[in-house]
Amino acid sequence: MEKTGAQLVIDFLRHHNVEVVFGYPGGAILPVYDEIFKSGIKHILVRHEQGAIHAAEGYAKATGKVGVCIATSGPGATNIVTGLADAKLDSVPIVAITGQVPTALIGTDAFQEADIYGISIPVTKYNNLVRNVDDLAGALEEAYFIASSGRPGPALVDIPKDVQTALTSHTEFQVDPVIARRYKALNDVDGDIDTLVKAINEAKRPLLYVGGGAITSNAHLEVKRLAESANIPVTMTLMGLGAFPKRHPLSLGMLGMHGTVYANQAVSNCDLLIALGARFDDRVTGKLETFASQAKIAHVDIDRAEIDKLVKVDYPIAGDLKNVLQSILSEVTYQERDEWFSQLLDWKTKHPLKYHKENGVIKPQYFLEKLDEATGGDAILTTEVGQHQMWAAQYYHYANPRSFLTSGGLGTMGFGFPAAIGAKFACPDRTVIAIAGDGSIQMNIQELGTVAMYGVNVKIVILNNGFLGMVRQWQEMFFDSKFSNTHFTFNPDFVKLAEAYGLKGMKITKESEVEEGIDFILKSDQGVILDVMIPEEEKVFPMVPSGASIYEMIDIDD
Amino acid sequence: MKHTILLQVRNHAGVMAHVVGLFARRGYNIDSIAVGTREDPKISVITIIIDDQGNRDTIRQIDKQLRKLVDVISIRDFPYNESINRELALILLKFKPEQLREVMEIINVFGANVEDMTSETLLIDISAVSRKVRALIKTLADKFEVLEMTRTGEIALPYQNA
Repeated sequence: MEKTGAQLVIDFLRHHNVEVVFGYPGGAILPVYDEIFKSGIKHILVRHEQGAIHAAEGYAKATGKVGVCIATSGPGATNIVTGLADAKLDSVPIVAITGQVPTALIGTDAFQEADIYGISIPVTKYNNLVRNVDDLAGALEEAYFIASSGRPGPALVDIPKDVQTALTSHTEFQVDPVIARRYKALNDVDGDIDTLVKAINEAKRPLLYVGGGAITSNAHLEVKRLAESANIPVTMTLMGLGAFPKRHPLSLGMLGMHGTVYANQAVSNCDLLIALGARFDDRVTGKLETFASQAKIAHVDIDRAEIDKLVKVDYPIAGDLKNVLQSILSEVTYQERDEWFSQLLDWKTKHPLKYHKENGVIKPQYFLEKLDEATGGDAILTTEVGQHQMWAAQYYHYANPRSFLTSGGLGTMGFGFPAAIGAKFACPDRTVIAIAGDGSIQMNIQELGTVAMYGVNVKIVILNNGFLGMVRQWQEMFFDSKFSNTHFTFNPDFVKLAEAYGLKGMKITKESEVEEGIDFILKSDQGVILDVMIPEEEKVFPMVPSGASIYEMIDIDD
Repeated sequence: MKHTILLQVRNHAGVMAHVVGLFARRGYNIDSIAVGTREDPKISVITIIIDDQGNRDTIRQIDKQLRKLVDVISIRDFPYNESINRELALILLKFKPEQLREVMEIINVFGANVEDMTSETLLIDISAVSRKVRALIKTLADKFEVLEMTRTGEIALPYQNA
């Protein structure tokens, strides 16, 4: 039976059991929206297309499933570009569907025409401008297949308006067999597992360095079994938080620029660094030349291009982490490593994560500790980017994977709040808390409308210091306290703002109010804002200065 | 060291943008690039010549990044001297009547051809390895006036005998 392009889009969503899509209509995507109206597909109308794609990312990060967003041509499409770049760097499976001006008008500077195909090349894993409706089903299927296979990433399918209304008998959702075969081969395990096992069993001071790939690969149980059965300490990247329980005795917490002193010391002194689904980002390694300089490096990653990209690897294994770990697990042996663990304990005791309390003001670290206590480390936290993000990484003890949804690679302010909306649609039974700063919350604050309209029970915590805190911190430390354009001398009344949207809000200013504030958001049965006033001078410690080695950390009392 | 990269790609409007964009984004400089279709017009072959500037890791990283492009069907790379390379150049040359003998000698020495001629211009074509093409161009430019010129970039296939 012949179908229109727009009908194929609906069939495609059904074919993959897509539960919810996030989007915003417009002229060039009208035929698709007409079919959405008829189909009963659950579509969440956001307030800005950037909100749609970050919500789709939040959905995808919380579930591991593909997130879908829809936008119109021109500005609708360009508004999702930041989200595509974000999803590319953090390997988030996204299918973005955009309307395009009719094929006859492409290239004529038509109304709401933008070359989103060209624009999105560097920020997508796959993109396609479908000029012929006969190619649409294949293009959508390729987008889904490539977005969700191997190292996931964003895919974009751009559909001209006339292609949406044209009829076709090509309605099979099939991937080009050449592409399917080649992609499958890209994900095969390739490497010498026996040699790696031998290296692990012989290592005196091994360390697991666990990244977001452990979560993507659903390998958290294998990581835990490896750590326990071989008795190896574990440090996690920002993206890896949740892949291993932070309260586990083998956990050293996060490494890198704002990691723990003991994790960074462990990296700098280990004799075997085992990177699992991590990519040696500059925020992790600091000065590359001195990174893990005493160690042999093992690297397991599904993306071959990550191996040997920045650091020369001694034991390279390409392949899906879960598969690789399963074949390692039965081979590794338990080693006491007494000296190594007593050294680690010494660093932990001498340099714990710490902050100083001050006469009753709310320290953000204290707030997160209390939130951790109240939720048992079991809530889904999303963050924006900046100081609040680092405190949320340091002071909340994520017990499970897919619980800390943050913009790691791109560092996108404006990510966290819409991502929380997406996560709540994905996990309606879990507590979802968007941790934000007063700067970043205002980047996509329009999504309060979405929260109010759909009754989304997302809890927004604003750690409010009236500044772009992380930039302020750098200005104080490295730019002689010249606070150029980081001070918000005006901020809205966030409580009244919540109320204007029919939501509840509460502002707390004293440490003694923290528990009441947390109780207020956790008990609320609707979207809510908690405005937490924190001191502007508070900084994120410890810290590796830009360009320094990661063992050269500045701590709070230095 | 120079390398030849042979890419087979799905032939469609955006594929060159994907390939060239990857080189630009990651800061790899292309010496030469040439493209044409295979006997099956759904497949294009792109020949890229690059210089790794002495860093052997560069070519490995390029290879791995190219493999991630969806449209890339196959990729081969080999050292420049292990392939037979050819480039085509067309040169419109201005000469004085008394120089005709000299210019024809040069053309014959290089094994180039004259495709068109007026009383004061010659349209010359040469198909050869790039070094020879460059040598011809330099020789001609030193003595005569090159009015117009265009080059294809190199195409290549590896030798089959060791």
